[in-house]
Amino acid sequence: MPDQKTFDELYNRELDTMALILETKATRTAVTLSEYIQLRLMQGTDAAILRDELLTDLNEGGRIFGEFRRAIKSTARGSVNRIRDDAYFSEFGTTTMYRWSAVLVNTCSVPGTLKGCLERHGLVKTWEEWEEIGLPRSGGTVCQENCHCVLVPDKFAEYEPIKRAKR
Amino acid sequence: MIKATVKGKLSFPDFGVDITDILMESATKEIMPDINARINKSVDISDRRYPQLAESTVKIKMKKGQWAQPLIATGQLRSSMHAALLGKSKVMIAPVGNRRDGLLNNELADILQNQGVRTKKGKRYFEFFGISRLAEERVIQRVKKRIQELIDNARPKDIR
Repeated sequence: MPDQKTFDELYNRELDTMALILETKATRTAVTLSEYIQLRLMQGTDAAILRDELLTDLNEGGRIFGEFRRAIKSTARGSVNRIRDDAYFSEFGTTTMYRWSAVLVNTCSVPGTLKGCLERHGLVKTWEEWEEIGLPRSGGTVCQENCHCVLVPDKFAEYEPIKRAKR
Repeated sequence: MIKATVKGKLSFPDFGVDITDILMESATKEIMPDINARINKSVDISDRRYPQLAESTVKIKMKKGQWAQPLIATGQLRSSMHAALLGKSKVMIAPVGNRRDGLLNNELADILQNQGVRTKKGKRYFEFFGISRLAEERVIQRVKKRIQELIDNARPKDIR
């Protein structure tokens, strides 16, 4: 197990270091989150209101969690198309089941395998399972980065594959 | 007319909330395991699968008794991920330590991700180190759960 000295040396190196830094504002007087909650409840704040306040602070990056929220922001790059998937993912989270909804530009079919978008259409899996098989535009399908398919939360109505004409 | 005078003032000092323990938990329970899981699955932090290794590369790796997939040879890179507290309210996650081939794990990580590895088809980059969308979401869910637990377990003391 590397000791503190190893980390300090790495941090102080003049050369660029591969590292993720998670940081929040350090104040001279600070209480832990647990103590803060105790204090607020002692002051008479309703537990449900306090919970909503803290969750809003976390979701919107407020006084307590603002810097934390910025620190843990994904460093992943995404294409414009991926923003659409991210919107569902942000709203419905990791526990929702997602259905592969094929948007076909070419044939996009590789019968007998999961490499084809048509073969994946309608299949329902968790986000993690889709990550392992290959998310849209991750290179897991025959269309590679040109894949136009989307993952839709399973609760939404199911449609036939969308077939787009080649321009 | 009644005159009222306020004697004394009850005020609370302006204090911050130290969430260093949450930073550390995010690092060790979500971000680092996510990085390692992606190395195992050959998926980068942007959810892209790494291109398959060339046949010649696979043959060489298998001859050496190594894994026939990108980024895994002797397991040193995966086991090099560590998190440490750097002063107050700052946690650092980095690949650390020396490798048997003489490089530092941090140097190798830089080569793989930033400088690129030379192949017959040009330079190949492995964006394996960072915070993925999934890791970010999991951290948020973990903190939300923690907030609920702390509120549920809090026992307000009697005010005297």
